[in-house]
This record gives sequence, structure tokens and C-alpha cells, in this order.
Amino acid sequence: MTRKASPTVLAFQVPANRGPRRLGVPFTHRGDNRRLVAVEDVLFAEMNDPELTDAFAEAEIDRLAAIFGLSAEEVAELYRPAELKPAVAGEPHRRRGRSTRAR
Amino acid sequence: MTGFVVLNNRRGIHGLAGATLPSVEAWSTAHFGRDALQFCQVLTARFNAGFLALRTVSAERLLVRASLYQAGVRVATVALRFDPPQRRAHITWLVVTPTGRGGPTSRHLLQNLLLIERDCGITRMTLQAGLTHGGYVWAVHGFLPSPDAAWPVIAARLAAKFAAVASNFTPAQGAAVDGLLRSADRRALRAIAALAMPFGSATLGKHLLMGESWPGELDLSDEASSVIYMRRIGLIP
Repeated sequence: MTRKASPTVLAFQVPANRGPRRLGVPFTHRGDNRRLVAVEDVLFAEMNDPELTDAFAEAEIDRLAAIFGLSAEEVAELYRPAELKPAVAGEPHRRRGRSTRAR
Repeated sequence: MTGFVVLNNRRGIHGLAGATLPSVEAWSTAHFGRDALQFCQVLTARFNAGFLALRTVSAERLLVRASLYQAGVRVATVALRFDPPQRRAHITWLVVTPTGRGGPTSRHLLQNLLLIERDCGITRMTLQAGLTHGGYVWAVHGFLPSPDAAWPVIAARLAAKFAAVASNFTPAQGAAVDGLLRSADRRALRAIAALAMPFGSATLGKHLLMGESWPGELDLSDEASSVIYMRRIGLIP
């Protein structure tokens, strides 16, 4: 299978050791483990897990507040900004449902 | 000259070779309390197989480079330095293949490393926090700048970064953040990492520390630091 030449030749430079592709999707075979990512990136991605979203537990926040002499207001400003949002009285709870119409 | 150990944990097969293997055995017996094969088995626990290159330096320090495999595929490579007389272990680098993303690979490896550190009497882990996410990630894992003199340098950089975005926050928030950045206590890095005020698509703490590079250490004898770390690597909820 051949591809048309591109006006930007550089766009077609491909490493000699690159694996074959089928329908634009690279084959994944047992030996294809040359790509490596730093563990920092993986740990960072894991922190998007809802269970790990908070950087530190409440106890650690309280400990830091005691160390640096932060008042309760400052702790709320810096570490619990959600608590500062005024609740809108009487606002109906919005139902969470599908965003697209069923077909 | 290096000692090599090949392990297939699923089939219970192993191979040891290398001219310096006797010195590695002596190091492992003296500091780990068990032989080199058991050292390698602990480091590769819960992985199907491992290939390890080990070298001793001045009979006290051990350099380890390990590749770990699951189902015949390499999932992680790590380079470590153990220095039990100094009670210190250094993570030189740790990389995971894309198949390790979203899985327990990195956590299992860090848990295995902690077991070795415990048995070697190591209480201090060091590394260079860097790359795109490392400046934030390692702070959230409980690491602090080391030596103490490194913190004011980092704080100055963070203060400049914060000054550029301070207008997005209330005067009270700005004053509190400035106060943390002026503190001489290196634990202020942790307080900065924890900042939860939204900024862009992230938090201010994440924004300030992303892309930063700093020499870090985790003092496992400090309860607060070790609890943060063990919670992060999944040893405690």
C-alpha cells in the first residue's frame, strides 16, 4: 500500500523501526514496549481519579494550617473554596439525565 | 562489572550471573538480611518477571536497574540507588510503558520499593522532582525540598509565578499565599501544592508547581510525610 506524496515531505518522515499500521491504527504486539512514560505522568493521571482528587486529606490541611498559623477563614479561602459558594435558596435540584435524546 | 538476575516469578525460574554477584550477595545479606535472589523477588513481587542488573559501590551502596514484565511485556523500568549506612534510597528514574497507565504498575512498584526500604532500615527517599508533572506530583506524594536551603529558591520562583496571576484572586487569598511563600519552613511547599482555588482548568497549587524542578526527599520517619506517601501509593485508604 502506498500513500500520495505530501507537499510537506517532512510530515512523512517515519522512523525506520516503526511498526506497520492497519487503518491508521498501529499494531500492538508483545514486543512493542519501547515507548516509555515517566512515572510522574502516570501518577498524575491517576490523581484525576475522583477518589484521589483532593491533594491532601483534611487532617493534613488542618496540620498545615496549624504550622503556618492560618485562620479558619484563610483555610476556607485557600483549601475549601467550594464552601464559600453561597447556596441559592430555593433553587430546584436539577435532575441529571441523558444529555441527548434517545433514538 | 555487574551482577545480573533474571526472574520468572510465574514459573519459579531464576538465573544469576555476573562477576560482581558475590559482592551483591554480601551487600544483600548485610543490609537486607536475605540473599540477592530474595531482594530481587521482593522488588518484583506481583510482577510476572524481572530482569535486574545490580552493582555495589564501595561495599555500602547498591545500584539497581530493573525491568519488570507482565504477561511477557515490559511494563516498567527503574533505576535506584540504595545507601543503608546513610539510611537513604534514591530514585534515579522510573518509567512505565503506556500499558501501565491506569493500572497498578506504578503503585505496586513503589510499594515493593517501600518493603525493601523497610527491611534495609532506610528512612529517607530522595529524587529530583521534575519533568512536566513531577514538581507537583512528588509534592502531593509527601516529598519536600532538600536541603532546606533549596526551599527559598523554589519559593522565589513560585512567588514570581503567582505575582503574574494574583489578580485572579481576592486580596485575602493573595495575602495568604504570599505569606506561605515567604515562610522559611520548607513544608510550605506542601501547603502550596494543596491550594485548591480554581485556576484555569486546574487548581492554583497545581498551576504553580507544574513544570517546576526541585531536589526532593521523603522522610519516612516523619509520620505526616509517611502517611501522605502511603495513602498516595495505596497502602492505606
